Amino acid sequence: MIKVDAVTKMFKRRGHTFQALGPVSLNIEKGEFVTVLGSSGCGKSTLLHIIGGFEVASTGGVLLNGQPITHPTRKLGMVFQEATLFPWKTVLQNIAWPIEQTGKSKAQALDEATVYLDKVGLHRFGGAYPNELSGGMRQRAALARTLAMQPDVLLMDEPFGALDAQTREEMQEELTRLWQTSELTVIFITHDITESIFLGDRVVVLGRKPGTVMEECTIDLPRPRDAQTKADPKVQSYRTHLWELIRQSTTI
Amino acid sequence: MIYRNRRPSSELWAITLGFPLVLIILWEIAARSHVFPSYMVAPSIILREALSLVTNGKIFAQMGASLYRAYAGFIIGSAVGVSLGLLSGVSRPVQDLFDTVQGFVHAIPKISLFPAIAIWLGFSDASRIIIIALSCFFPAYLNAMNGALGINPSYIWLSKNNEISRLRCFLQVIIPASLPRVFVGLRISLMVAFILMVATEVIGHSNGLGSLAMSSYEDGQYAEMYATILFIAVTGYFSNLALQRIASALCRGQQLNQEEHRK
Repeated sequence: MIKVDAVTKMFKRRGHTFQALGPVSLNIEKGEFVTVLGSSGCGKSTLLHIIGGFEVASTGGVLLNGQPITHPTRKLGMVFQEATLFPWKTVLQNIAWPIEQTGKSKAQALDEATVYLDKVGLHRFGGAYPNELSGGMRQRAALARTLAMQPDVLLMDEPFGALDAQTREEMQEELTRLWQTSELTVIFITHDITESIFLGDRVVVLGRKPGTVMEECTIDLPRPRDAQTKADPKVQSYRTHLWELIRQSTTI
Repeated sequence: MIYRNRRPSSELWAITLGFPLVLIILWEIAARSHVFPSYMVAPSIILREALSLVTNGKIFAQMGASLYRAYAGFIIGSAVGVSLGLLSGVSRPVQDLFDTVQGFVHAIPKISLFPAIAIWLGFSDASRIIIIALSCFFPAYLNAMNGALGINPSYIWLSKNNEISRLRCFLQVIIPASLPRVFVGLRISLMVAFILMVATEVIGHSNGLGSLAMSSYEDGQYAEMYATILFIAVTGYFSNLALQRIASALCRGQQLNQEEHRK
């Protein structure tokens, strides 16, 4: 479904060109949940931005169903690090906003938005303004807003990175539940090893300088996954393995 | 949270109202003691004068003339300022186009242009409104521009992700996101409008509150002069209050920042 083909990214700094990323090649199947794991500065966000069409690759390219991605599209819905809800709109109005952009009336968009509001468990908070919500609830609302775009692919850029540990775990379980009942393809960026294992069908480990794929690790944990999955002894062995890889990447 | 560390006003009114009350009482005592010269007019006399200006209706014509100038100048100047400011914030060419002119004219105290404009239009309402508008332009322009420049870049990405046009993004995202900062500019502009309203009315043959205060001074009618100043303060206060009400209604959910970029 998504084919990342030898993507690189060069930056110019004080006249010097340095390679921040790649070449990276990846194949992502429809309905797959892929997590991209890497330490900070490995270019994992840059990779996601290129897949989303927000940044342009220096060489190589990304194909979505055989078509090159040249600019952001509604088919690839982005969930940002911070919730980036519009503070002047209520939660429901925020979720309705992408629906309005398809030319539907305000009333109809608000009506359809309630479906997504319920999906993320915020039905009681539709009338609240974002600054009245906790960080976790805001990120839920942002997720609902992206789902309201009806994308084929969710691009998630460390969306739970700013949340406290407990909320983060809840959100991981929530996302797993949501994804398991959908046909979404997800590319999820994280630096949290356990998160990458719990969420992903496959963990793509990015090394540093320049960011390249060190390993693609298929996670063989049963679906559907839930809170109990985290106690699976396999999780521990995956963690040891991935931690070793990350350590290697940072010492090079 | 929008309201930080705010104790309920019921607990604070004693302090907020008590302090000015104490000052006024001290002033009253000082004026009645006859230690100070007679032009130290007691607040009670000023208030009586103010009441008589209201009851004989004399003040309203002056107030109307003044507010007409201040509001006309404020609305024209800040409307142009906000519009161009927002455009400059989203478009580098527009910003560059105005940059030099703006920086140069900004440095001129606008009141000093009054005679230059009077050559063309005389010391008329039109030239007064032009001076007020010109002065209101800059705080409105600069704050609107900085508001648009400073919006969260993720909002722009979000707009691109939703494949909306630049115009739509401007109208639906950039304008509302810039509003709190726009209102910072408007509050300064309004204050500036009142300053220049008085300043321009004092110069040349005019009516209005500024002119009344000046002619009362010249006639030695100090109670009337103080009463007029009181009316200037009251109109300014309520105008600002109205603007703040509009701001909080339009910026619901957003933090209204208190930072001010003055000139």
